[in-house]
Amino acid sequence: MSGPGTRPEPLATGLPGWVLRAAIGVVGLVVAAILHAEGVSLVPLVLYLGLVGVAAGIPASAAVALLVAYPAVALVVVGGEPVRPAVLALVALGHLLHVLSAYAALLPVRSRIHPKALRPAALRFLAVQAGVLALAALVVLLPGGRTDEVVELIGVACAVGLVAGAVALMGRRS
Amino acid sequence: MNRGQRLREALTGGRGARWHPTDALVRGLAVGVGLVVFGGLFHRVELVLFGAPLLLSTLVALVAPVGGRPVVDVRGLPRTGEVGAARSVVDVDPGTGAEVVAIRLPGDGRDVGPVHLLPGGVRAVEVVLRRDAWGEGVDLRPDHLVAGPDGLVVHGPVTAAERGRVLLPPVEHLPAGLLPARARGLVGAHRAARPGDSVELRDIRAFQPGDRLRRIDWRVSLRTGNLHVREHHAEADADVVLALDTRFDVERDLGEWSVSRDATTTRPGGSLDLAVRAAASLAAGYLRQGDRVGLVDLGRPQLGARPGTGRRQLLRLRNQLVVCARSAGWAQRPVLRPEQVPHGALVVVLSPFLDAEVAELAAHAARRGNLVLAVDVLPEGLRPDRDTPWGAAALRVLELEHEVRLEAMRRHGVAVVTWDARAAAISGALRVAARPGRRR
Repeated sequence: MSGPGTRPEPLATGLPGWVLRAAIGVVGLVVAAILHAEGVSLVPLVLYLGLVGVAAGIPASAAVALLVAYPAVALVVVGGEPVRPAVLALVALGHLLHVLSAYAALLPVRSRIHPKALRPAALRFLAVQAGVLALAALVVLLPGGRTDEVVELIGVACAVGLVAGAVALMGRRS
Repeated sequence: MNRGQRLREALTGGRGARWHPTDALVRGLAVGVGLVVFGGLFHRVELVLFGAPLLLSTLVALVAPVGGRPVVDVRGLPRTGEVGAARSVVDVDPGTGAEVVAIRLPGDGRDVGPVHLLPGGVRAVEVVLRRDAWGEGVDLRPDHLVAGPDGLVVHGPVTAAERGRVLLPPVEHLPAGLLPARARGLVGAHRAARPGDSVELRDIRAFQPGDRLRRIDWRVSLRTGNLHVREHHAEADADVVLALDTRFDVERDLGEWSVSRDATTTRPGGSLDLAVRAAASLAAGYLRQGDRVGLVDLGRPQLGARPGTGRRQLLRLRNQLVVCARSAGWAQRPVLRPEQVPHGALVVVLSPFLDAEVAELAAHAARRGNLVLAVDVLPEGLRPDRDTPWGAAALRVLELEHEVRLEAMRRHGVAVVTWDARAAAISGALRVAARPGRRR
């Protein structure tokens, strides 16, 4: 606990709290535009825009999960090269939606956001995206071909282990 | 943890006073793992690329060490203060691994303020508290929530205890005057009727055995042929009783008179607001010149303050005025018992004079021998109730009855003045009353 000797910082005005929700809306619109350019038909896009509205209004809702997963499924349905600029852009925007919604869910609309508070999150976002880009580069550089079934099974087992570990960590936290 | 601590924890802790994962963490984990697994199973690299950042950020949040018990405390907040701005410091101990802290802090000068999202490294925040209305009020309620990386693990939200101040009614500078001349005590600022040692001439009379030689008026003595002495007035202090009528709190718009206001102690600009401001200003004026000033609540007689002197008495009276305003409400009759008014004291009745009882009370006080000053605090420029066709007629009747009551008090020897927001009218009345020819 800081004592009386701690020099207090003056409270700045900060940005209004609705900026995060507006950012969710803007990012959602950009995602919809990219999906439209990739050939996704109009009806699913209208549904997606509805999800964007719900997520911007209620960032703590399950609509955000659909908002993040929807572009991935849409791109699989549309088909095309697995690693292309649209995919990389949508990966970054989906991650951004996830992070923005996580912070917006913590704050009421009438709040004030001090941009300095979001700096560590922004740096981590860039670091994670750099890692994803490296992974994409690895995918492009590695030779294609059928993976052995045993390797696939090992991969699935690793993923299950990852989930089990994460759940165990969550249980320890709560 | 004893029972008191448990009770405090239950009242102020809230449901989220522990570290727990948020929906975003579950979302990141489920969507991330799901996309990676399905991408692997169906040989779709896009799905793996989509799931990877969600999974990575979730794992970072889970691995990062968070813990401890975040504490937010308020430093340097006095119990009482003056209207206007004041500063306070909110100390923050966010615990281990906190990345952001969301605290409710007063920022725009209204109520307890919005939630501010601050960096987790902040340890103390200086806040400006601003309230323009006197009375009791809540200045700070530092509700808080501490979050780990990406807001995936949080502690809170915790509803904090409210911290408030009593803002004392403001004091307007008033000239002194309209005080009864009477002897009490040996020193004071007011002329007493009895002879004494002041510089103000009372009489010139024939010399009597026992008179001091230095009091002989040689000029008169030579002219008359007999020794004459100059007699001076004594100086004394005075008792002032401020009688506050808290039974009514009415504002300019008659349609709002029956509408209750929960958020504020009084209606801003209403009769009780004006009466309390007038009482504080009058008390400050009289106490400044050494008089004893007391307070009587006509609606709640038990809430008064005995007469006293000095700056401490002014603070006591201003605090008591806030207490009286907080407890204000309807009482059937105003009460001013004779034992509440010292003999010969000046009684200042502060009321909107909306019923005959308070006018009779002022007249009775004047009949008992007290000098009575009636301060009318009915707001100027009353507006009729627009929701009823009888609004204008009702207002006219009310104004006429009010004027009749004031006139009746004047006829009983009560000085009547109107208090406006800038105290200009009462300043003029007191200046006139303070002239030597008007003194008793």
